[in-house]
Amino acid sequence: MNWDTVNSMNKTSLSALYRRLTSANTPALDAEDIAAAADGTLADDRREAVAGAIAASPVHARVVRMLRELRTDSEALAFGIARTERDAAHRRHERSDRRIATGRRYGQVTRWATAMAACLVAVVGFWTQRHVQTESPRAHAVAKADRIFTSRDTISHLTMDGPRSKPSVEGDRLFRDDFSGGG
Amino acid sequence: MANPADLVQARLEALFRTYGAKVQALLLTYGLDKHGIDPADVEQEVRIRLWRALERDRSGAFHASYIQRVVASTVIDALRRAEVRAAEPLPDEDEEPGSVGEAPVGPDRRAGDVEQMQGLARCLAEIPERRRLPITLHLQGFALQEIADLAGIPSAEAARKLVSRGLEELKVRLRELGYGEFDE
Repeated sequence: MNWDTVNSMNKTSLSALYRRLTSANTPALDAEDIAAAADGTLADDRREAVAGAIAASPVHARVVRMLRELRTDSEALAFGIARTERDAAHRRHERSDRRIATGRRYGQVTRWATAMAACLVAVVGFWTQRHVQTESPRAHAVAKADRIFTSRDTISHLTMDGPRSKPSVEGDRLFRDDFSGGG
Repeated sequence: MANPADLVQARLEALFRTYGAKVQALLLTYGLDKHGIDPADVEQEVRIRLWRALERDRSGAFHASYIQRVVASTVIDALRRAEVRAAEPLPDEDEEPGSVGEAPVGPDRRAGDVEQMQGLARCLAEIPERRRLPITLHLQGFALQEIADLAGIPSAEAARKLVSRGLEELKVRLRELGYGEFDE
């Protein structure tokens, strides 16, 4: 028989007696202390008081023992929550990335369309300019025609008035010469 | 296709349900239902408190020690409420977790118990503090490693030695004072 077995035989009566002795004790322990005691993280300055209170109260002792047994499940729950939240965050990031990628694609299409529109405007502008240039010689022709007409008018004016006035001038000059020569 | 938020909610609910079932089972195993608390109520309260904490800070890390504190505070609150409204005496503390209760105690034995309890209290008071704490923790049902952790003893082996010597001393003293044999 080992030590634990021997003592478990004695302990039963002593334990029972001690628990009856302390059954009415309900020390004012707070949850922080009890959780710390269960986790084995009691501060040194609180250890004696808290451990002593737990040793003197069967109810608190049971709560501490229960919490110690629950520790693995609490760790599993914390891990499960963290994993679930991490997966959810990962999905959110994926959705956000997809949205950004879609935005980028849309941006590229927009840029392409803008470039095409700019080209179109340039072509239309160029065409319009050319069109104006091809139409302008006619206008010049009209103006030249007017000028020719004017020149014709001038010419006609010259032909009409020139020969008639010139001889008269020369005639006058000759007439005057004749006067001076003769005199 | 299900909404991703609903899937997360469903997964968390499943986790809390599993954990809550474990809390309820342990409350029953350790006989805490005999102290005027309803394990189902405590389990529900634990789940509500954990949900609230999670909704307060979704990005915050949810540590096991925090979960343990939530359970501890819920159980302690329930015990205090039960204590306030208790009209009946506390149940007999003899039972080990999950064990069957002892036979009813007669008046003669009860008188003898009172005498023995007084003797035990006297003998415990005579034991030096360093050995008294491990012994009383042992008598409350803690294992050697648990005693080492609680009392700040370096190892389970060191706790075993302290408990062994202390118990021997206690038994000898009880025998000397005429309270009978406890080691047989």
